[in-house]
Amino acid sequence: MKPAKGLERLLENPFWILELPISASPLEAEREGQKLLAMLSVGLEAAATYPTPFGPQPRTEDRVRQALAVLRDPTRRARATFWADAPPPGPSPPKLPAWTDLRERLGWR
Amino acid sequence: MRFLPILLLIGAAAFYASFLSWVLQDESSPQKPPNSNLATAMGWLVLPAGVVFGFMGVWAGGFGVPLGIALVVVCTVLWMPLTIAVAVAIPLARPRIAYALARLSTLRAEPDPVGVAMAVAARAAGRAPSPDPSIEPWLEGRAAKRPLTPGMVLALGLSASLFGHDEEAREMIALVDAFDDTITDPWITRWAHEWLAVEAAERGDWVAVHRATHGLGRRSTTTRWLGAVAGRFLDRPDAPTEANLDALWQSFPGHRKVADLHDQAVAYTGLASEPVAATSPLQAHVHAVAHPTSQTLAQAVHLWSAADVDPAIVADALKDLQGAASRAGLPLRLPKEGPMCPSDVLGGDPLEAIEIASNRLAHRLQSGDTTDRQQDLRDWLHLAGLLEAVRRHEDPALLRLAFRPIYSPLCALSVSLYNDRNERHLSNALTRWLLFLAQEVGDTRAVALQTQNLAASRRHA
Repeated sequence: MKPAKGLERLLENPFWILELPISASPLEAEREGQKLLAMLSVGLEAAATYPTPFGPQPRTEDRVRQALAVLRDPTRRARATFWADAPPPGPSPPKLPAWTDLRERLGWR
Repeated sequence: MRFLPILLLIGAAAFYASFLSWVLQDESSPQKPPNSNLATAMGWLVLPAGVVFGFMGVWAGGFGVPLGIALVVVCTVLWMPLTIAVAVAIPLARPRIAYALARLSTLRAEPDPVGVAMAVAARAAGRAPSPDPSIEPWLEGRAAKRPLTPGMVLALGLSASLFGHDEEAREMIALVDAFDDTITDPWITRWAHEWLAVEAAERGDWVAVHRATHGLGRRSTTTRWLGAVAGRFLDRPDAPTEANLDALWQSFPGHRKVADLHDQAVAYTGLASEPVAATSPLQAHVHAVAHPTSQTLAQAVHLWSAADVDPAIVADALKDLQGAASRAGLPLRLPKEGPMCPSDVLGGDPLEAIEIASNRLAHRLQSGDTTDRQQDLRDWLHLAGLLEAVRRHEDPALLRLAFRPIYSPLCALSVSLYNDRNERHLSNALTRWLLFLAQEVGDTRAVALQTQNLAASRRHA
């Protein structure tokens, strides 16, 4: 399932997908990425999701390959490093009520 | 001589009955439904007299009782058929009976009798436990050979909502306001605004409730109560007092069915304050994309615009905020100065969508494909919806950019509707819509042209 609009960049951060610290070397990133691809190819449950501040997200082979591609590019890696520091979101703000059966009550249904 | 008044009354009754049969046979005519001031005057004379004679017959006793009762019933139905349709046929979910009764309504001055009857039928259809699939084609058949009127648009919108197409219904019913007052029945205006307000309240969109309940045109007592509730929920300066809110609540029929909701509005004291302000743009950004509201988005934009960060990261961040804002149906107000202007952040998506839709309409008109009225309405609604998405950004320059590709094909559509297809009311409504839009963007040439078109269409109405 595609992430909601505006959340893709955060949810698909390569450091989160590969579960690596931002200080990880390129060699460590490649090793971890290949390990995850092998685990995913045999369907291991341990590789199926990765943790994020927004809760666990599904990990796929495409996402792992995309993460490796980002970390190989120094410019894209620098931006991903910035975004990897994202904290969890705060609590949801209170919302105004929705009177969901109003049409029925007022004779429109 | 003494029988002369009775003979005159019988003659007037016969004349009125033949007029009624002419009205009901007129279903397939593309012309304006028949109207006759003389017949209406006869009706006002005959029907109350019939009720009185009926009661006299009942009082006289004997054979007079059944005859008197029959006369009272028939004359009452013919005297107030619309009231009976609304009070009886709608709650009993009888759309075809509701339609027939409403079409009998000739004593009440109606600029749009077929439209009102269709709207009454659509309301009755909405009360059925499950939607009847035959009702939509039946309603469309009633409108098929006549110029589209605001009552028909309301009926078609209500019919769409029967099957869960609320967004389509919303866009269509909002068009009722675009029609000229001379063709719009006051009941249609009241029902359209009430439906829009009630549907918005169901979604919790109290800004839309406020918009539907304020402005020009008549409002029902239910609509006024919802407007007051919206004022309270939105903390508006003109929000009603508890006493005023109570008075509005008690003023509409069936108010007891919403007593608990009314109590909720009375007890409302405002939303809890936002969490502690974010200290970094990243923190504000995460909160805004996870929970997009006007406040969280504004806070994030403010912190990004002041941040000492790689401009490419700021650009990415603003694009993500735009995505979150559009997901929540909110505008994203960007700083007037700085690295990003709104059209850059938008990435041209809505403007591109407007170009594509406008070109498609222009191509359809040029190829002569102009027979499907529903398609014309859909094209108009689609472009109006795309324009509304642009309008939410509150950027006049962006709106002017969006206006240019929309204007020409819709202008051509309006002309085609009027000249080639006898859809003068729909053409007039589209012309009015284009005029308001031209005024909004400040295009004086377009304003002058649409003003001229409106004047010409009124002269020939």
